[in-house]
Amino acid sequence: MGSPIELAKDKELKEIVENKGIEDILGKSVPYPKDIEIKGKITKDIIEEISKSKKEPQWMLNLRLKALELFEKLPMPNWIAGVESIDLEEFAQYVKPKVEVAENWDQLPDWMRDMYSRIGLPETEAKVLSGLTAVFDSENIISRLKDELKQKNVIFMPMDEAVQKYPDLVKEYFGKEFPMADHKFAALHYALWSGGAFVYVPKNTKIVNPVEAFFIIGGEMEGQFEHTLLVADDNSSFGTSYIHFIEGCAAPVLRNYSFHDGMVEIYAGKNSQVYFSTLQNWSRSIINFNNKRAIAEENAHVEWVEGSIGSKMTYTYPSTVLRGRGASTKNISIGISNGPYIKDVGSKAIHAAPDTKSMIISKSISSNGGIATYRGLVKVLKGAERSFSHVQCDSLILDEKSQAYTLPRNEVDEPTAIVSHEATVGRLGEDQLFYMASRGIREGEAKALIVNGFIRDVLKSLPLETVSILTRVIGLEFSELGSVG
Amino acid sequence: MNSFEINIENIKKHKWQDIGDSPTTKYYTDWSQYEKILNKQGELKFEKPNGKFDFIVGPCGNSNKAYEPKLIKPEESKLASYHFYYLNEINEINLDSGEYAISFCNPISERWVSQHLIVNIKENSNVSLLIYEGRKSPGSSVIEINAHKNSKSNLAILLDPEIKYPTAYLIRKAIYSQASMNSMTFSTPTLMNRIEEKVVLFDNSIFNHKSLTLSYKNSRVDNIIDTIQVGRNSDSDVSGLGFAFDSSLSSVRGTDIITYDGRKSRSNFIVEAIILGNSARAYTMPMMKIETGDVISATHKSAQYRVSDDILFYLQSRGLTYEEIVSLLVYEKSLSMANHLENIKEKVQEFIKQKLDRIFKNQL
Repeated sequence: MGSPIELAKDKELKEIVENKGIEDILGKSVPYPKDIEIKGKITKDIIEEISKSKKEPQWMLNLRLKALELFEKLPMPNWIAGVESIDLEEFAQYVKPKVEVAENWDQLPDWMRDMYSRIGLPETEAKVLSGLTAVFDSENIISRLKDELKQKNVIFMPMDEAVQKYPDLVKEYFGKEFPMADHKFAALHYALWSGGAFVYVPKNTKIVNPVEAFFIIGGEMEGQFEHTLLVADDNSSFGTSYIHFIEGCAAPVLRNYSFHDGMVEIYAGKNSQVYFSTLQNWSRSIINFNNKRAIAEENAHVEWVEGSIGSKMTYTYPSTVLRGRGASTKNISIGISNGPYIKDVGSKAIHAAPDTKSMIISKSISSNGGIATYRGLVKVLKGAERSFSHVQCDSLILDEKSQAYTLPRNEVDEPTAIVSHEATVGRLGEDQLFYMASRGIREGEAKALIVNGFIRDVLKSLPLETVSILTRVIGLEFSELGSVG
Repeated sequence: MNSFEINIENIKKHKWQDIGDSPTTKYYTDWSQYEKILNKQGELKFEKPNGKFDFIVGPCGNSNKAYEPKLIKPEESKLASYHFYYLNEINEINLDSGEYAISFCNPISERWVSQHLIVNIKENSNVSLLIYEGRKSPGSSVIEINAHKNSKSNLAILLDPEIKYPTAYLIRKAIYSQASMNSMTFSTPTLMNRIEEKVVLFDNSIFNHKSLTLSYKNSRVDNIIDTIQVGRNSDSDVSGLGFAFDSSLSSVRGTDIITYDGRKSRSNFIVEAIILGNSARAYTMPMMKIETGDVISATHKSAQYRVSDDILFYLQSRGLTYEEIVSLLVYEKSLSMANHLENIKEKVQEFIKQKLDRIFKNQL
């Protein structure tokens, strides 16, 4: 018999799996007014226009133009399937909805406030968040920070605003963790980035409640390129810096696709702890390319949680470079590919210093013809003595049409390191269903029990806020509610 | 043999390896070592291998010429194209029940030499087979094994090439319906030793395979073990083990695929690389592509490590030196890789032991 919380989760999942045919929460996209919409071939003029409209300093414009050059030179990534269908000239690279930046929810236009209310964001903000910024299409439309954080001198604001207000601080870290030359879509991101969040946690500061950034793509044939930069400063002997950042994504159902090419850069200073949770539940109209990388200094800890539920295709591989002695990282991903969709997710851990540790846990569920892929890398560089890494990938395939791929790479250049990997693929067997049926458990309930058992050990280790939102999102997925995060 | 008439210009147009451009994806085979050799000219001799063999294939032995490869095509890769480009003859041997030893003639040359053997294990037969290759030249050897319906076999492929040359072994196996095979591949190192093993499993077939590679000095091995289960109820247990001494590189990898037609199959895939040199490197990539949810089970594991501190402490407290501990570990793990080979187990273990003796007594 589990604890009351576990029993409640069991019940919730059981209901979730059995529920069928409820309409999407965000429903279909509806037209809304736009101030600016930039479309067509991505040229120097377009980049200059975006930069000018944001009143950016010259160094940022130069960075964008350099990225454009690289974007033009780099080939389309061919290590993944499906991206060749993306016509980068077809969609709008920058869309500013016709709405004034708001300080509270009441200042937003009715149609937009209604959308956020249906997701439950104002309620979540009031109850559990220390700060919130919401991005609609290419721009932040509301940002709120509680007094508690202001008093601690925490900076939490839209990325564009931070470029204006803290140019030196931003310049020190922006683009340093994730190089623009990494691949074509990274270069595209740097050329077109707009919106996102900047967080700076000063020394010896602990943020008790999480902060959240929420991203919505409102229309079809749009690109969203938000950039999130999180800096947890070094620590002294007074304690440990700590922050939990939640990222949520959603879109209504679109007639055509839209494209998300976001980026998260994390700098975790000495002895800091950074928790970054993503709850991705784009609608089936979104091609989602997400670039995430962290650098962890001495004794820092970076933890990525990736709940990857929605989208037409998702490609994301949160990575941590363990640069300081004793740094550690944990990466937990739960991917659901329900329907003829692709989830190509994974993780990278680069051990570049002695006594570093990494733990990667991946749980994927594929059903109704879905393809779930884990693609990962553990690299231990020469000199990263006594480093340790373990990777555990488990896949559950719910029917015979669905597929699961596990593609790990472990490269060890240091003889004192220990690296291990384990993976299993399990199925929902007729024998299991028969066994449960013979004990009076119906198929829906049986599936719920199996899915629940499959992800339960991972859920137990996550922060409470993440568990709460993630179980809800998974619930919506299985009940075919659609796209909310 | 039209398929062998390969235009060198066309071969050169192909890439060595069709991989993605991800910045973290690397070439684990150092193709430049082949490029340096491929256009080299030079004398070519063949010597008869030492020992007793039922068949010796190649210019110094029996003639068992065949005309078509069955499990490999020139167009499948640049390496395969070069193999056929430099190939003079294919040898094909059909086996009834019994125990056999086959050896290639040993080419002696500074230039690329291709060799090709096809073995057919007949329907309903029970065959034990040892295949030896000890080339003293760079080049490629293809070994194709067809284990026909309802056959049972124990197979060992024992490779002992000269260390200074780049070599490639392209081993292909088909295990047809109801057939079962216990097999092992063992290889000593070369400058660049690419060992591609690909097996296709049909309905109700059983495949139990171990692959063992050694690398030392500046040698490099890329052992790729692919298992493709296309038949229902097929069963595979595959493991690869590499020892990396000195400043060598050992890569042990592969993909286990269960296709949609391979429903109700089971697979278990384990790769390990043990780093024993201070500048040695080890890469493992146990990949899995499961294309149906109707599988009995599919698991894979990998590990890279050296002798653990616990074992070191325990054995050193009993008076053993570090070198003795390493030697114990290598012998024990290596010889146990042949345990499943039934009646040819001792012969295989003796062969491996001789090579390990050579390494521990002379080379290191």
